[in-house]
Amino acid sequence: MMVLRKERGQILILLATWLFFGGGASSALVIYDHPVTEMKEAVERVITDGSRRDAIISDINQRQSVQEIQNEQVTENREELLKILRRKDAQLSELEPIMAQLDKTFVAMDWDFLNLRFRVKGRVTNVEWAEIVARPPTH
Amino acid sequence: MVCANRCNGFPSLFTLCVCVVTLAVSGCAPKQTKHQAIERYGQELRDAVSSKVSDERRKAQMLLIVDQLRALHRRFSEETANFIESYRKLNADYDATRPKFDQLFSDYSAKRIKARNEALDLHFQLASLATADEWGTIGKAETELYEEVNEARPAEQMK
Repeated sequence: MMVLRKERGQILILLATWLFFGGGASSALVIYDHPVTEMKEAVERVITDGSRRDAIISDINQRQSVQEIQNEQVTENREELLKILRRKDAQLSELEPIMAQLDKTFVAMDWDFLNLRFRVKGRVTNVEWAEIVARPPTH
Repeated sequence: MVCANRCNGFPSLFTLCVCVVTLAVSGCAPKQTKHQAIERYGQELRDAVSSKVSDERRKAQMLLIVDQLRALHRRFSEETANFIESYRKLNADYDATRPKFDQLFSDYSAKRIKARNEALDLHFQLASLATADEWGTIGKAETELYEEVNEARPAEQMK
C-alpha cells in the first residue's frame, strides 16, 4: 500500500511537471489515463482474430518505441530548463529556445498519439472499439 | 504525501506549482476538492512568505504574486480536467473525426502555453523580489523536487 501511494505521488508530480513546463495534451493523457498501455491490454483481450490483433499490437509497440525516444528528449530539455530556473539571475531569453524545443516535441507526440488512435480504430469494429475504450471501474 | 513534504519551509514557486496542480487535477488527496487543495497549498506558501520575508514592502508584493499564482492554478486545473473529460467523451465516439481531436488538442495546448507563460512571469517576479538567501532555499527545494521527478517513471512504464 505504501509503495502504491509513493508511486502515485510520483506519477502525479510528473504529471504536473509536464503540464506546466513542457507537457503536451497527449502527455497529460498518457500520465493520467495510460491510454496506450490500456489500449494494448484491451486489444489483446477483445480482438480474437490473431492476425488483426498482431497488426494492431505491432502498431502500438512501434508507437511506444518512438515515445521512449521522445521522452528522453523531453527529459533532457526539462532538466536543462530546471537548471536555469534554479538560478536567481536566470533570464527568460535563456528558457525560450528550450521551451520552443519542448513545444515542438509535444506537437509531434500529440500528432503520433492521434495517428495511433485512428490507426487502431480503423482496424476494429464499432463494437470492438466500445470495448477497447470502456473505462475500468474506479477503485 | 510527497507534496506535503516538499511544501515545508519556504517552498519554491515551482514546488507550489507541482503541489497544487497535482492535487487539483488529480484529486490525489482523498476527500479534498480541487479548490480545497489549491487553498491549502496556496496558504502554505503564503505562510512561508509571511514568516521568512521580514521586509514588509517586499512581503506584501510577494503575497500578491502568490495570490495571482493561486488564481492561475485554479484556472489551469479546471482547463486540464475539462480537457481530459472532453477527450474521454470524444475518444468513446467511434465516428468522431480527426479534425475534432486536432482542435481539442490544439485548444488545450494553447491554454497550457498561456498558463506556463503566466507562471514563468510570476516566477521571475518572485525571483526579483527574493534576496539571495531566500532564493538559495528556493533553489534547494527545486533540486529536491527534481530528484523526485527524475526518480519517477512515466505512467506508461510503470504499468
